[in-house]
Amino acid sequence: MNQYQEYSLEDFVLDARFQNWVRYKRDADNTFWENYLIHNPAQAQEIARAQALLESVYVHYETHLDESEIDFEIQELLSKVRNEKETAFTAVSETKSLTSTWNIFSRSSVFWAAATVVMMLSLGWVYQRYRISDSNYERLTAGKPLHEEENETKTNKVITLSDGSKVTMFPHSKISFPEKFLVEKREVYLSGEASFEVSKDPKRPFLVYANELVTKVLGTSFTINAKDAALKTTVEVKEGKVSVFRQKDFTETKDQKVLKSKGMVLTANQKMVYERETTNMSKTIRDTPEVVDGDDAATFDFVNAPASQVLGDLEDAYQVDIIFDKDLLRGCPVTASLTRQSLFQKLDIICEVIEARYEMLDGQIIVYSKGCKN
Amino acid sequence: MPSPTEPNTDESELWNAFRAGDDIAFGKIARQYYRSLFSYGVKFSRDREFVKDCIQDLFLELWAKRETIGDTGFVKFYLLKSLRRKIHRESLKQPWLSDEDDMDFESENLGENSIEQQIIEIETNEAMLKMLNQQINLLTKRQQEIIYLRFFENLDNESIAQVMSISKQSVANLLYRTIQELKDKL
Repeated sequence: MNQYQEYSLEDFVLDARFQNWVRYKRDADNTFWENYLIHNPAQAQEIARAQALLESVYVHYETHLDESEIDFEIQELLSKVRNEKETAFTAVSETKSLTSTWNIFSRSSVFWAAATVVMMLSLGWVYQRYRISDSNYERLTAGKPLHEEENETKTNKVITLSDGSKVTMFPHSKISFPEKFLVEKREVYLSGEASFEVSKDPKRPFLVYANELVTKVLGTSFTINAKDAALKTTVEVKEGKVSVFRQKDFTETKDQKVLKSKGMVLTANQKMVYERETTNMSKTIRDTPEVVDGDDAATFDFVNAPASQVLGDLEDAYQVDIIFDKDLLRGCPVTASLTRQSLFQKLDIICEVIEARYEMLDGQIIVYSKGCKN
Repeated sequence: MPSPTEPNTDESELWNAFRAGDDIAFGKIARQYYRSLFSYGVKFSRDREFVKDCIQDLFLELWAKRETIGDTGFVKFYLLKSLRRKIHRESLKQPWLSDEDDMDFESENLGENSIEQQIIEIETNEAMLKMLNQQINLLTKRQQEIIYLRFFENLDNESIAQVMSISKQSVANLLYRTIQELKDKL
């Protein structure tokens, strides 16, 4: 520590250790410099000034660059290098074989079942194998130090990631992930179909890359379903909240606010359909909405209950927005046993009873009624 | 930040693997330097894609020369210098980007708002940081580049002199003067 005692502002700002402290504020450096200040209070002012000077320079020249942008560039670089390598040996045609075997990464991986608070969430991706999805997956994972797991069996295979998250892999699926996740995010790459139970860690979002989409876990639990990679990819949320982005936007948009506006937030029982041709993302309701919270005991038996209350109950149970005129529907009594039906069957019955109709718009359900007072 | 003069064993292993033609090792090395290069590059051109292209070319050249490349100690300095030269050369081919002989060094266009935004996030004297920020804008391009290389990349005066093709004495003088000018605003 003594080397710093003769330091003036000029010396501090040029010192690598001091620079690193101001720039990265890492714990070890914090401890060191806080301790130093306690023992050398006379230098406090000089240090504060040096700190401010450096800080201003760091703020001024800060450059935003997403990790995913770097990943993309490195992959492009490596594919160029590999192409060059291949052509050096054999005259390989430009078209890449999409069905080529995949053995770059080690498959022997050891994982630790971390004792974390695990939150249930499951998601499934269905892709057309050996087609675009494979090349996408290959492009995304190339050159990264990732572990790959593949399920070549005919039954589901369960693996545990380093953060305690569990993945149930369906037959013919592949997943790649780092042995240890980054500090700021958890990224996995998927080809095929799998369901996930992700351990809760709000500071480290869980990102699933697949096809042209990136799905980001924001809150609790959810289900994703992506089908038919050639035409459509769909994401379905079972519980909680996720954000879905086009991979292109996700990597190219540096402003978080702008990115937010380009993504789509999905909540429980909502579904997003992405169409490759138009790159259009549209929001609707899942085909088979489920009661959220796994409260299987929930009953929907109503005797002379106002329709407004019935719909309110459904809204709560499925956590779907149902838009209706409360005052109008208060006057519509419903007597029905609706526990066993699906949400849509329930709605059909209710609408039948109260002579209303419903439609879905932008992931919400809208009930049209003229009221029942006559 | 590991010191460039004392490569640890992992690093030299990586480097040796790269020289032997291991593309995975090459990818790791490229990744290691990418952020530094990009951050430096965008100070000369606001066209991010153009800078990325230049970095791609730079690494491809490095790959092509892998067998004749020596020590790891100079990689960062070598890459920064090469990138600077490349961007300059490429910009000349596209006269609309830069018609000046001298390289323009400036911060990415953050705009007043985003600077303020960042200042607010940092729990330091706001007014003072604003003053300093203005002062940095008043520095010459050379002064700015010197403090950038010194504070961000932690290059020594000798390396800065070589990257910028000016004398070591000029670097020392300019660096001293720049710190004094900023200090006056504190």
